[in-house]
Amino acid sequence: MMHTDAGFYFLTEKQPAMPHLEEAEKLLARALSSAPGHWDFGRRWYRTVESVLKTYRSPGAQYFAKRFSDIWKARFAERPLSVRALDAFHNGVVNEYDGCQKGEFLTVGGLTEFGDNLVQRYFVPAARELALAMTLDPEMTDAALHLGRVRLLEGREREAVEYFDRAANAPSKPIAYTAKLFLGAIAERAGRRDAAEAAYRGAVRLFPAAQSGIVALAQLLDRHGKTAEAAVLLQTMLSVPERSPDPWSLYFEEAGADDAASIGLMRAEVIK
Amino acid sequence: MRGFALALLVAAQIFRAGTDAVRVDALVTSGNKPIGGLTAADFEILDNGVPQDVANVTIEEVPFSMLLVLDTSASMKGSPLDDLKAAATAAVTAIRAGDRASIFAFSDVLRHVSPWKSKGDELTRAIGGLQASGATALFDAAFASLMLRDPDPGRRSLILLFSDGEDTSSWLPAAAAIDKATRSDAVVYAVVLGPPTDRGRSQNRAATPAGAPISAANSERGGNRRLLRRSGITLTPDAPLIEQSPLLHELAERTGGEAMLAESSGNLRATFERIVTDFRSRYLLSYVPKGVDAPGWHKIEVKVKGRRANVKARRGYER
Repeated sequence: MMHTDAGFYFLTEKQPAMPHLEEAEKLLARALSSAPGHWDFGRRWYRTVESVLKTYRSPGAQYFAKRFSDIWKARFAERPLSVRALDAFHNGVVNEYDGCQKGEFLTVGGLTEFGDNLVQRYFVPAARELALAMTLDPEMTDAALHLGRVRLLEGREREAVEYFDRAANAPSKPIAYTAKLFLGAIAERAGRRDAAEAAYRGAVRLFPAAQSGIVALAQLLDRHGKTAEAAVLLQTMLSVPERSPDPWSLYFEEAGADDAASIGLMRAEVIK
Repeated sequence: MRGFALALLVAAQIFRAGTDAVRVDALVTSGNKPIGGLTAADFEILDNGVPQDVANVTIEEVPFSMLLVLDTSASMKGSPLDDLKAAATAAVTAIRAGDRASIFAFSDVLRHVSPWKSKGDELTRAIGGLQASGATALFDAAFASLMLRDPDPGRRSLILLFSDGEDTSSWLPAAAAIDKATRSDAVVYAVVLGPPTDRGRSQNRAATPAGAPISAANSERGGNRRLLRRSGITLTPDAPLIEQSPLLHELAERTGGEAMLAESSGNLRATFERIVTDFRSRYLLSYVPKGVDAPGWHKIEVKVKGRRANVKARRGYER
């Protein structure tokens, strides 16, 4: 998957990217033939890379967009429900992402008029698409994670917990990790300190050096008088010279155009 | 008297604020110029409204530890990073024998790039090695930096926090860092670099020689209004679900420091040097609370008797 990342990087830098994406596709095709368990990942790879390539006008990008689209159709078209689920997931996450890029939507008093517009324009459609994805493919735990987050942004905390609970039990460690962080934060908001601590510690067990889990746990401990333990946690994390990617930092890719959201999704997939 | 006060301060370091002795770092100014030569008799401290007996020494006698918290996100690439390195180098060069410094860099990744050191090459080498990349986890960095105390006792604590933009990727809300700052006796000076979109325009303005004070409204350009890749979720029951609070101005206010705007990266060096100088001009006041036994939040008010003066000091402490 380093080839995928490299390909996207060179695309944004307007340098030759296709050899990397072609190499990534070859490796993926080989993996799919020997390990059917990667089937879902494969579907997403072809679909997402195609949609990213379509945003570039170079003949090379267009050629490979069509080629990957053809492969995707040939290989996955016989699974229409799953494909529809994938489309819905993609649409939902792009809406969520776009809503997060927009300006002021909440104030101390709650939703502003503009904020309400933002919810209606982005988060309601996002929730609809993500819920559809989950209906079509109940195993799609990443849809549960994103739906939980969108429900949270809508102010529907109870529903958010249901989806985060489901995502927290996902076989994918990054999805489970991020869901546990949200569950910890919601428990902390509710004043349920023990539940919050258990959720944060559960996340840290999955990714012991991930920054988001450590700072979440450290601030909880510090706020409740366990400053020494919090400091040790932070120092230990900071002493790790090359930390593996933090699942939270990969939840979305950096702000920008729509294709950045696709790249973010790809990255989240890469570390599954 | 001065020897007693110093001994009391060391005790305060041992017992930490909120238990036996409370210490308050205060900057006293008149017309933006520090007022020197004040003694304990010149100050009035109210702890939850109850007058306290004050002991004080001037800063010159108490060494300090300065944590430079530097935003090295991708938007700092090029001359802003070069100017930041020059400013940070100037700051660590300006500390004196007995003082210590440490370097903490952040993008979306937090890095403690230099442990606590006395003035010397190791600090400047660490600064020289900084590179710009990644997003901006300002809130996470602010919280973590407040946790990174110099283990060497008997020191005042200065955090010089620099950022060039809004938070894009923190897990923690700003309120978590503000809460930590409120419970800390570190003094935070925050420096914000003018926005990239304003950089060209600012070249046509009169330069701000060494960092102009800024208000809450413009302390973080665009505020924290967009979530971007932040979680934004607040962690206290009485807060709205998603937060909006600005960080840097509030951190400075709560700790008795200052938030400053550098309109161009070329002004960073003078701003950093001014902060070190200002910090030396502060008074360190200490008192053992009397008549205020209740646990919880204690509001502190520091005043100068009999003259017009502006006092910047932390707002209180948790007991």
